[in-house]
Amino acid sequence: MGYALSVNTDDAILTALREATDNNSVAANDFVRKYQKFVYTTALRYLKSSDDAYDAAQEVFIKALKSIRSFRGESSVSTWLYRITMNVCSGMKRKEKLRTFVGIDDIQESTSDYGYTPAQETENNDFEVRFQGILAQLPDKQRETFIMRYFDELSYEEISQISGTSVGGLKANYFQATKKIAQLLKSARP
Amino acid sequence: MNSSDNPQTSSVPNVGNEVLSRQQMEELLADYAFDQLSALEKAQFEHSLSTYPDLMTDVEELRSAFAIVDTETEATERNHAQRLKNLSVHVQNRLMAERVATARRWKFFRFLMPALAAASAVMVMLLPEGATDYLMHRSSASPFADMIRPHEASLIFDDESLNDGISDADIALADHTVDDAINGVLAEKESLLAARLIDHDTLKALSSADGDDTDNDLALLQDIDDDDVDDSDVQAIFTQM
Repeated sequence: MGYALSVNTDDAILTALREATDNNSVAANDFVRKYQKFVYTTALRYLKSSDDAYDAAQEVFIKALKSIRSFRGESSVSTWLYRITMNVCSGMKRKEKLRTFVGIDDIQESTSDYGYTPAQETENNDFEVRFQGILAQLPDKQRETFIMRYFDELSYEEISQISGTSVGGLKANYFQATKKIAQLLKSARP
Repeated sequence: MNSSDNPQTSSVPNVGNEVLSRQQMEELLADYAFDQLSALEKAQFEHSLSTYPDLMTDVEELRSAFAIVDTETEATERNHAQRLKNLSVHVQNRLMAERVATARRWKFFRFLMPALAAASAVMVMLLPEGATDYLMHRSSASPFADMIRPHEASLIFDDESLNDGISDADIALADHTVDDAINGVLAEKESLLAARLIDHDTLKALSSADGDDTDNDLALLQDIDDDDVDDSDVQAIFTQM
């Protein structure tokens, strides 16, 4: 195996993972480390619980590493992982709803305006909660574009593949989103 | 924020001294403010900025407003990094555990299937020859074959006289007997249905009547008024039968 730890470009990692008979552990480790922040924060935004997001991230990487040979590289690795993350998170949400519906979770915690439970609000710092509130005021498209571009640092092409919006439309959404957020941050400043 | 490493993300034309349109400038403004442009895009944006001085104010406002976001994001990212430091180990451990479980399952089935096949072969060899033929023929010849109970099958196997000399005529006779039995059950059910038309007094009369006096029974039956029958009558009939 000619995989070197220092050469951790997507192509090198993917090639090493595909060629290995039992998932090259060094390459798998690099793969997880390279994308863990992206997967975890994406899951965290969706699930709003750090424990659930951690579980989801594990699930995402297990699915990804198991199906690495079927990934043909038609989209970027980020786009592929984003889709897997969304599928895993949706599945977890569905299970959670079902648990609540059949009464397994007898006591439902009340949630804040931004969808956080009191425990989660304590877990997150004040600014994060306030910022989530600001993001909640944006139209869906602008919010998603802003998050993927600003926090996840995805290229417009990658966001376009995920959202199905044109690159020009995404740039306009990003500009509008940043302007609105700046205004809201300014007005919210003590 | 790091500069974008993908210059293809921009729709900006690759012209050195050309001034960008206002729309193009607005599309690049946020990325410029957060240092997300490629070197070429950044040079083009700065070259055109003098044409739109108000946009520079927008850039400054964005930077000022988002300064707090960057600060807080750094703190959050430190927390995330701390939370994620063992993720790759956990993923590898779970993958390893799954591989071991899969290998165990495969090992189990690899031995189970030949063992089941061998056991089936031994069972077939141990069965009396005639009983096997009889059961195979019967299952295809009669829809009532599944009425054979385990203890009946056992009797058949134990009775060695059945092993030889079973002909098609025997099987036809057996089927005919089963048909007769079924017809008998049907007739009994019909009489039970008819009994729903009998009131309590008629039932008493029928019970006390001579079992052979069919004419008398029929006459009594013809006198029955349907409206006289209620559930208690039916219950009483079933109890007495």
